[in-house]
Amino acid sequence: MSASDPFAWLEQRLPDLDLDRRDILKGFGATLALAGLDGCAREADETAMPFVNDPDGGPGAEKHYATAVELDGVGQPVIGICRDGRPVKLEGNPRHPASLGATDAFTQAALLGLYDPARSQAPLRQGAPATWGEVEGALFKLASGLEVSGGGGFHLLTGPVGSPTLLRQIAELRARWPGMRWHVHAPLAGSAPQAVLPLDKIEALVVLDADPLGPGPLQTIHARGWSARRRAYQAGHGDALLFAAEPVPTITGVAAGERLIARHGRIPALLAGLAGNRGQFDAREAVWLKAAGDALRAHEGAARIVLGAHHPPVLHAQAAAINAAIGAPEPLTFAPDNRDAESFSTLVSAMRSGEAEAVLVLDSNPAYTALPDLGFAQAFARVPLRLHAGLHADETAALAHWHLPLAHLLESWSDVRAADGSAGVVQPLVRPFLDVRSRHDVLALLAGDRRAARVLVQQSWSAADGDFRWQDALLRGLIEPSSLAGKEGDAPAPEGEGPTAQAAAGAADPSPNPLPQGERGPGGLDLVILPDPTVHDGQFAHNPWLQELPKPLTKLTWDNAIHIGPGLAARLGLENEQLAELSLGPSKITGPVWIAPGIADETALVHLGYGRRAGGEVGKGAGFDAYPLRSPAAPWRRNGANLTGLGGSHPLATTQPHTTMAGHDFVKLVDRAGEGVPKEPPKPSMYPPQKHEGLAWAMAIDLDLCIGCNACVTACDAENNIPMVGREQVAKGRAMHWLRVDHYADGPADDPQHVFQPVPCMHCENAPCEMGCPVNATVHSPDGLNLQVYNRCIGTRTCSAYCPYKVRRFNWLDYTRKDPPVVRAARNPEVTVRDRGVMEKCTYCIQRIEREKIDADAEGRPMGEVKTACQQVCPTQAIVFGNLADETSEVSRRKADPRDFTLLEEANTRPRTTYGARIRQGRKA
Amino acid sequence: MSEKPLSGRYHRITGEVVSIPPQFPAPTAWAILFGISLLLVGLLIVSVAMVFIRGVGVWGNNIPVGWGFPISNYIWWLGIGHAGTLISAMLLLMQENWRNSLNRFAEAMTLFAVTCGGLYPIVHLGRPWYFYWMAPYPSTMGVWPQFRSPLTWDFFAVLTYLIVSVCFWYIGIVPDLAAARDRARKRRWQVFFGIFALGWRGSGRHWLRWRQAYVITAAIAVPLVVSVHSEISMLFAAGPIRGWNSTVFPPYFVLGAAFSGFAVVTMLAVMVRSLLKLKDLVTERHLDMLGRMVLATGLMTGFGYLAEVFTALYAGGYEYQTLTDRFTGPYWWSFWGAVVFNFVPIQFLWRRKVRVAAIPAFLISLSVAVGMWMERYMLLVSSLYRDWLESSAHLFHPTFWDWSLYLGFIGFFMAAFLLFVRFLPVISQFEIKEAIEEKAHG
Amino acid sequence: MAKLEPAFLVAEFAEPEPMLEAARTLREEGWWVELHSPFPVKGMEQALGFTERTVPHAFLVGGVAGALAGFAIQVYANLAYPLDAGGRPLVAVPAFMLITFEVMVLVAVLSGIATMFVRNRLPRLHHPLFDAERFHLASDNRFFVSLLLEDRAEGEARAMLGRMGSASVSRVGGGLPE
Repeated sequence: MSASDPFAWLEQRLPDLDLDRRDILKGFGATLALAGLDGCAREADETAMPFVNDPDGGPGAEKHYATAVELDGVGQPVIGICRDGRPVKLEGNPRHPASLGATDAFTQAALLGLYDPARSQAPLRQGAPATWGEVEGALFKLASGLEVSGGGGFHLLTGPVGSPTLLRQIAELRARWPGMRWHVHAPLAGSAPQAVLPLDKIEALVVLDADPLGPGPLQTIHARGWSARRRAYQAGHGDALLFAAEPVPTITGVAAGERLIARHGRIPALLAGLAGNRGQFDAREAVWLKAAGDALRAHEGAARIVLGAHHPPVLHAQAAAINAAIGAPEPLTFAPDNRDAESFSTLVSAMRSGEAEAVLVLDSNPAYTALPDLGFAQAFARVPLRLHAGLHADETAALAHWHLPLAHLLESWSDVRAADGSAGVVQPLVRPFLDVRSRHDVLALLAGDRRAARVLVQQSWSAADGDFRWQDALLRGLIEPSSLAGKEGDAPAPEGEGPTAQAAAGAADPSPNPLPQGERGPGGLDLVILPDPTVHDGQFAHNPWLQELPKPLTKLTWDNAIHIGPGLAARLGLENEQLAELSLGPSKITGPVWIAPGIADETALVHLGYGRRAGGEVGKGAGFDAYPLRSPAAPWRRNGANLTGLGGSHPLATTQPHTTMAGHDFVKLVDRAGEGVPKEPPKPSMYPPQKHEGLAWAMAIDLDLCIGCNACVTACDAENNIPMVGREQVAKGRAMHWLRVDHYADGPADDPQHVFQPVPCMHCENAPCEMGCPVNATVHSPDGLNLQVYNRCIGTRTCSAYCPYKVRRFNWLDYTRKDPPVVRAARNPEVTVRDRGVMEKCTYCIQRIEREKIDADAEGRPMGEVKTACQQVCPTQAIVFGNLADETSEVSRRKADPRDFTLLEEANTRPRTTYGARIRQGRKA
Repeated sequence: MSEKPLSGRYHRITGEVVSIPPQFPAPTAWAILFGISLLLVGLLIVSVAMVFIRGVGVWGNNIPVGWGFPISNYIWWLGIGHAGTLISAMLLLMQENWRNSLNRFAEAMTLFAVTCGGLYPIVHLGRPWYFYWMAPYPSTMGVWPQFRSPLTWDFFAVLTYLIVSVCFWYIGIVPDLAAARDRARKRRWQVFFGIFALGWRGSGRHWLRWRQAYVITAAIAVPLVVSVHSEISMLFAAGPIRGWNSTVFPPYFVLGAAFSGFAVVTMLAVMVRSLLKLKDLVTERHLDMLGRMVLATGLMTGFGYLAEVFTALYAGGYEYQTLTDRFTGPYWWSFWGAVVFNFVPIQFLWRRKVRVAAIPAFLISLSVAVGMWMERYMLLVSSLYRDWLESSAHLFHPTFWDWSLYLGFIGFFMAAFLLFVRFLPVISQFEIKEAIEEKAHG
Repeated sequence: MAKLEPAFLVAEFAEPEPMLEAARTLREEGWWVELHSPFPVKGMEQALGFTERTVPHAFLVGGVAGALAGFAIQVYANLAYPLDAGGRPLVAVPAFMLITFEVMVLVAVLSGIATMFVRNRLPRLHHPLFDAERFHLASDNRFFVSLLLEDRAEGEARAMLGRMGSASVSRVGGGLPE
């Protein structure tokens, strides 16, 4: 398809009957303007600074740039890998203390966010395309007005701001126009801890209705710490006890050795119980309290209680008291310094009162994420001049006079503050290919400052200290905290409390309060509201990689749902996928029911971030908007909700309909470290044994470390050009992920044992798939890889039929050819894009193996370490890949561990991928 | 020994058989049936086009059920085909002369059924245009087929079976074409039959060599049939899938094949008999014998079911899980449907009166055909949808295009068979004469 | 002068036995005799002194050759381009047997039937015998003996056939080839 001729492409698109992919493609259809972009023509920003040690140039050579992306104002340090000037992969920055090379799923998917065809491409004036010239005119008019009024009536609204340069710009603006006011809108404040827990030091962790390991800006650093502790415990150093009490299952709860299902209302009692006070506890609670309490006391100085940030200060005070009593290791408050920002609600009242004459919404989408009770839209409508700057023409943009398209962080100059408090420079991986401006440019425009964003960023650091080494910062992607001006990152404070955290939460708006008595309606349901594990607060609703990423605990894709436990479902006579109305006071929403084990009775769970009304087609079709259910008083937990079944049903697309093991032990558990799984002698085989000499690639996955965070799945999507197929196809059982994370909730439905199990191709030595293929399209390589030869495959699907692990994926329809050029540009040129009618599967990232082979040959050295994409990204280092023939390799060590077991050993296919049994207790003998 | 009557009978037989094409007895009925089948053939063309244009994703197949309708129907069709060969070859060797009235159209049925069956796997390929990669030919890539794969076995088996069946059927029909040629009045019929009769003139030496070839081919065809469906059963039995990996499969499949095949032959016999007014060539005796065959093979197949259940109970573990899954799982209907349709109606065949009554025989056979279809479906889907890991279990639901393709192939089969009865001698008249002669001379 | 095409004497019988009888005696007289009947009649071999076994041998040879070829191609293909498929041995004899069998059957049948046609000189759409009137009954209910007229006396043969109970005797062929 000639990329330069959008109409040819359009003609190709129109006769397309492919309903299955329409929900994605519609979104991409909006990108005709981008059709001229073939992705290869762009060159890197000339002043960006690639790694010095990157493989030397030539076409197709990789360039690595240290940079970062942001989530809720927290920097996520990454290495951006570019080929021929195209960013094709993000990896954690191994030299950065906050990531040590790992990232979360959101960061992996940020790459696709850069190429998102739904991004707005030019300024809009009243919804009509405009030029930046006109924008400058408008801003100049505004600025000159402000010069007169001294900034009076001008309001700047941002999300949580971490970027020191942005803070500096805001400060400068306020210095210039004292009358201007700055507000921070943080819709997710209070959903996650506001401080980094030193999990590596905590041997006994008691988590009350919180999810420190869960998705969010701190997931990577927390998972890092937790797994450090866990691995130390496995090695015999100290304990790694984790107790969780929670109303709905979370990643942390699944990782916990002892998980107590407790209704939200029980948390205060449990906390009191931990403090030693008497109370009415049922048997389960008593047992749990005993164990948790003993653990806390037994590990004084290395134990801590973590209380959900949404709980009222009084509870936090109690928790803090206990923590102080046991000398708990203090968390590091990373919070960006938004102390002097005003709350969002003050902005709304200012707008309502008519005091606000001009409002600039910078990279925030209150029209969608604001609490409905505040009535943002109506208030906003009264403002004479409304400007919005963002990546998408979203709900807020629709209400604004002006919409200014922002540059993606991966294509702009900026700086961030990472979770560990250190600052880092953000350098563009590529020049913006849309007519967009970075957030710094926008403020600079307003200030009439004509300097480039790079200069602004550079300046704020050279200003910070004289001998600031800019190039060094670019290369390492990290500015040592020592070289920081601001030290606000270091003041320790318990999470969820303290001025810093409050500020971090954008003046903690809405501020956590105890549940008003009015809401304790008898018979009503507890309502738990969480950010979505894959589309977060909705900012990723247009990202197919995240939309199709199975949610850790339900494996649902493309939708949110009203989650309830089997008990409640039975009581209300509700069925899976049945539409139901969830009402609470005046607000009500309608959505499909999803019955999941492990949810407290009389509790319903909904996720935010769906039901987007603007900003792109991909997100529009998906799910329902749960924001209306929130109240300023209790944004995250509410009582007195009513759930009533409706007539129809809405089919939900899950990648794993069955969550029990049906009596099998796919996931083996042992009681404590050092203990092994019973080993059977290898079954007799009719075939000659495979040799383990030279190179014998193999993988070991430690289920004791895996927290099911999905980072590996997204990394695999990015590395291997996995096509996204859309809701209908997923529902049919045609999701294409090469790596899936199975989730089992075994045992009694009211208190199941949750486990995660990542399942890539097992690369069996006696692979049935290879025996089944009539055309030698899947064969074994001498170094032990189960190869899939796409251009030899004729699509008999015998390999899949014979695969006991069902890890093979088939291109049932044409999943790739209709991708618009901009999305093709995101593909990894090292990996073949599979055509219709061929089978595909995990290759152990063979392209990385070959690359290392070639480099080793070129440099005349023996082959070094190869990291698969899933291994590289894993924040807990659960996945290890390497050479089995080398006894000293980590993978050999893992396989020598007594916990090592083979999935479906009875199938006797001799897999090269094996698992480490999960350890029930984090306690030494 | 009476002389004249015999040769008179010969003449009558010749007349009855070879005069069918020129003066077709039931043009309207034929036209209606053929019209219907043509419509279905149209549906077939559309369905295949759909698959080729959009991809096999138009069907309900998924992971884990990567094989769906195409493969279970493939097995069903080939199974039906086998009866033709069994009747003509096996009964020929056993000198069962009653076969003579049936073998011609039974063999024709084989050809068309095998064609349908053989096309299914090709249509089902992800990239059908490369189907020939299954054949061993010196490709530029230097790559050969993977001969350990049951699919490669199938490729050879089905191809061989098709070619052998065509040869067997054709050399069988040549003398009758000659007879038709000699009776034909109209030029176009003379040319048509003349060409395909290859100038056959009933010469003694020709007959003798012909007999040698015919009998030996028959002798080879019998083990061939067994091997073909055994290999098709390997498609399942060779895979490490619970409910498949079982040694009972080859005989189980072969018997099921004969069972369904004889049922379909019965249906065709009833049809030919009434449509072409051949009641005194396809007599009650033939229906009787067919009924017995259906009953016998049916009971053997039933034994296969018991053997399966026993294996599962004996093996326990996954096998047992699959068994219970088949009894009570989401596809229970296909299991119990197979049991009911296959084994309940045939019990009526114990009574001769039912066996020789056209309508009941037809209906019972129809239910067997349906039952065997359900069995193939059950064997494939109920094993595949939930094989080892609970996590990868996923249901399979056929789509419109699954069904349309299946109906289309049925239409193709009907159309081909109707053309056959319209234009070719449906009954081997010379073998009937031979039988009469032998009977006359003790 | 162009060679005349062979001339035949065609005698019709109402029953198989006299036909066989006539054929036997004439053959013993030294005539080249052929039979024509609507179906293979018992005793043809003896009547014609037919002992040929070419067709069965063709099946045998074809079968052996097919089996060897079928097995050989599998072994060759695996050695010529050795690929590790599921850790199975390169030359997996049990797995190769099925295809060996199929190829054996295929080649046996094809060669056998081909030989049958070749030996029968078929297809041959026209033959002088078809000119004999009533010969079309050879595929219906009449039985014919045809003998090749060499330079021997035709009358002698006619007389003998008459004695054998032939309903009618006619002469065909022997003209100039068109």
